[in-house]
Amino acid sequence: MTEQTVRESINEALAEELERDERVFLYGEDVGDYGGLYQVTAGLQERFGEDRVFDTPLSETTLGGTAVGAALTGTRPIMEIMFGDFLSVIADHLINYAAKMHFNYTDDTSVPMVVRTTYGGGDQFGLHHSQDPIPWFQNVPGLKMVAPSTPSDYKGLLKSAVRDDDPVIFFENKQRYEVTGDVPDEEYTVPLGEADVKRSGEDMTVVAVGGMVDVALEAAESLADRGYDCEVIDPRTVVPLDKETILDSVKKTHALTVVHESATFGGIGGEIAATAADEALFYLDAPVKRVGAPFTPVPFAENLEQEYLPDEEDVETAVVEALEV
Amino acid sequence: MQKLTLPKSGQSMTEGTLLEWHADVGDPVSEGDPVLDFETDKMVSEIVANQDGVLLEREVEAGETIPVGTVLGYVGSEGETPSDGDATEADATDAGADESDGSAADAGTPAEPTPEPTPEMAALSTDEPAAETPEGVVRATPTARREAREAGVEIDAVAAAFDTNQVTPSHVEQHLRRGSANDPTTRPDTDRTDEDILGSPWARVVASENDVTVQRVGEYLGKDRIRERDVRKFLDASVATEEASAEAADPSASTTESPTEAEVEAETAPSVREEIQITGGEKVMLDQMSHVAQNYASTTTAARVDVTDLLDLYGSLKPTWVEEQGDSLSLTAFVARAVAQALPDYARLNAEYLEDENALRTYDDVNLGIAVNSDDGLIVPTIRHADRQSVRELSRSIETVAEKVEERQLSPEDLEGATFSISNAGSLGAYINTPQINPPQTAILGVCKIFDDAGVVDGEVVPRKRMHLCLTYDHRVIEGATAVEFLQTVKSRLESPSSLLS
Repeated sequence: MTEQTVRESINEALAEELERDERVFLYGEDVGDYGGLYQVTAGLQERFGEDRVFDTPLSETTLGGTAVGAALTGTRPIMEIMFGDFLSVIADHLINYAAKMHFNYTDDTSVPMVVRTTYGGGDQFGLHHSQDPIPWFQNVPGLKMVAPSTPSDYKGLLKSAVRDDDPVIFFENKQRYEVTGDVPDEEYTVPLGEADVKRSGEDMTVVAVGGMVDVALEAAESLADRGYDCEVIDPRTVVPLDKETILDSVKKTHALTVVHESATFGGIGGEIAATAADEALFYLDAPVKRVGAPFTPVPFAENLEQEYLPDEEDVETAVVEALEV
Repeated sequence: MQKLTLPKSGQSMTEGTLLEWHADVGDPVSEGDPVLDFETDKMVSEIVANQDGVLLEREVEAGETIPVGTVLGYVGSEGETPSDGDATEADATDAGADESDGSAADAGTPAEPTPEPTPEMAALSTDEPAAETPEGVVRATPTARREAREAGVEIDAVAAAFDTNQVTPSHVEQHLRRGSANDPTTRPDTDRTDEDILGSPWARVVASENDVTVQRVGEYLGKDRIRERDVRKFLDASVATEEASAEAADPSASTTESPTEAEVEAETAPSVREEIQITGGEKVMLDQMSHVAQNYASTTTAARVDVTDLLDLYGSLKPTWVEEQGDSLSLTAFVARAVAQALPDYARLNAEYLEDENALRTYDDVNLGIAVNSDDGLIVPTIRHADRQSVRELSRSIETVAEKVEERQLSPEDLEGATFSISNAGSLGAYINTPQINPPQTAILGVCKIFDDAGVVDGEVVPRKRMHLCLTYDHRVIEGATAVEFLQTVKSRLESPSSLLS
C-alpha cells in the first residue's frame, strides 16, 4: 500500500493503461504539455509521446465526435472534458451515437471510450463551471457513469472503465484531487457496477455519490456521537447502479438517506429512493430522505455557493429528521 | 337461489344471534315461509324464503352470534349447490370454463360456449345493472374494498346494511360510523381507524410478526405515528405485564416450582355450574354499561318526595279515567309528566355527549326512555315528545310501549332517540336505587318504592306516603347544583300534583 492523492492515483491509472494497451490514447484541452488543468495528466506526454497523449483546440464538439469515431475503429480513446458542464456540448455524440451504436448493429460493435471530466462546485467557478451533470445522462441507456470517492477506487475504476467496451463517463470531483488514501501497490481493478460499504452501521443507510461520500462519512461520525449509527454506501458506479447492496443495507437499517451534489429534483437520489420504495417498502421504518442541491444554478458568490452545496449539517439534519420526526 | 344473510334492522345493530332454524337442510320451503329466527338488540325477527325450494345449506347454527351481513344459508331449487352462486363472485372464469368444456360436452350438446355472465361482463353491460339479482354478487369499488379490508369488515356486511349491491367508499364509512359506537367485538382495533394511527411499513411487518396491530400499539402508547421501536416498546411492555401478572397470580413460581400447586388449586376452587356466554341483549347491556363505567363520571343524588297528595289525586282520578272511560293511568306517568315539564329548563340533562367532537348536544325535544322489565331483560322504549303530552296521554303511551315489549313487537325506532330516561325499580320493591345512565344520554331518573312514613303536618305527626327519586347524571358535563335543582323541581311538582294536570 502506498498513500496517494486522488490526482496521483488517476495519473497512475492512466499511465498503467497507456502502458498496458497500445490502443489506448489520451487527449483533450491542455492534457499534454501543461499536464491538465488540475495536473492530473502531468508527465504522461513526456512518457508516452505526442502520438499517445496530445492537446486539442478548445472544441468539445470535435473531441466528442473524434472519440466516438476513433472508438468505432478499434482504438480505446480516453478524452478529457475539462469541465463536466461542457458535456452538454458533446451530448449529441454521447447520447445519440456512443450510447446507441451497440444497439444499432447486430454484431459486436461497441464504443469503448472514456470521457474523463471534472464536476462540482466550491471553487467559485460560476454557474458554467461548477455543475454536477450526472442527472443529465442517467436516463440514457448505453452510457455508464462512474463517480468514485477514494484514491484506490479512482484508480481501480478508471482502469476498469478503460478496459470496458462501452462508453463510460468518468466523473472526477474537482474539490477532492488532494484527498489522500492508501492505494494497493500491485496491479488491480475495481469492477464497474459494484457499490462499496464505506462505513457499517445499523440505524440508517446513507447512500452518497462521488464527492458526497466524504461529506456523508463526516456526518456519520458526528451522528455517531449523537447515538445514530449510519451505514455509508458509495455506489461508485452510478449507472449501472448496484441496487442489491443498497437494498440489503436498507433491509438491515430500515431507513434511507441519499446524498448527491446535483439538484434533488430529478437527481439519482430520487431513483434510489424509488427503488427502495418499490423493492424494500416493507422494510422501511422512516421516510426516505434526499439531500442534494436546490433546484437552481450554482451561485457564484462564495457564501451562496457554500449554502448551495450539501454539507455535513444537511446530512445530519436529514438523518435525524427521518429517524425522529 | 336466495342467499340468507343477517340483515341490519336498526341503526345500532351490528350483530345478531341465530335463534332457530325452521327447516333442516333438504326440507322444502315455500315463498313467504319463515326459514329462521334471529335475535338482535332485544328483538326477535325472522327471515322468510323469497322463493319455493329447499333449504340447501346452513352456514350458521342456532345459538351463534354473528355480525350483520353474515351468510346464514341458502334456499334454492333441489340439486342446486350454493357454491354455484358463490363462484360467480370468487372465480367466475373457472366456473364458466368448467361448464363449457365439461357438462355441455357430456350432455352431447353442441359445444357452444355458454354465455355465462362473468362479473366483468356484467359490469360492462351498463344497460342491465345488477339490480336484477338483488341477493347476487356484491360489487364494490377498489377504494371501498380497501377501506373495508383495513377496517376489518366484510363488503357483504356493508352491502347488506345498505341493501345495495354497489358498495361505495361512503357506504363503508357510514357503516363504520354506525358500528363504532357500541360494538367493539366485531371490529377489533377499529375504534381508531387507520386514518388515526399510521404505521411505517416495517412497523407493520414487525407488528404482524408479533400478532399485534399498529392500532393497538398506537392506542397503548398514545401515538399516531408508529415505527418499529414503538412496536418493540409495546411488546416489551406486554411481556412485562404478562410476567408481572403471572407472578402475581402465582407468587411462588419464581422461587419454587411445585407441580402440585395447580392440583391443590383445582381442588380448592369452587365447582363450576356453567359458563354463560354473554350474547344478544346481555352483550348490549355489558357493552353499554362498560362504556358508561369507563367513560362517564356517574354521580347520583337522591330526593325524598312526599307523594301523599299525589296518591290521593291518583286515587281520585283512577275510577273516572280507568273504570269509566277505559283509559289507563300509571303513577309513572305522573313522574314522567313532572320530568317532561322540568327538563326544558335543564338543557344539559336532556342532552348527549359527543365523544368524537368533545361537544355536548342538547335537545329541544323531550324524548323519554322508559325502562320496562321484560322476559328479555330490561328494555328502554322511547316516548317521543313527552313534553307535549298530558298525564293521560303519557299513561297511554307508557301502556302502549309496555304492551309492545310484552308482545315483542318493538320496532328499532321504538328503542331509539331517547334524550332522558326514567327507570322505575320501585315496582320491584327498591327502597333506594341508583340507576345507570343509558348512553349517550347524560342523565337518568330512578323511581323507588312508595313507603309509609311519619310526617309532620301543621305541627302534628301524621302518616305520610313517601318515595325516593334518584337522579344519576354525568358529572363531567353537569354540575351538581344543576342536578340537585332539577331534582328539587321534579320533587316540588310531584308534591303539588295538581300542577301536573295543567
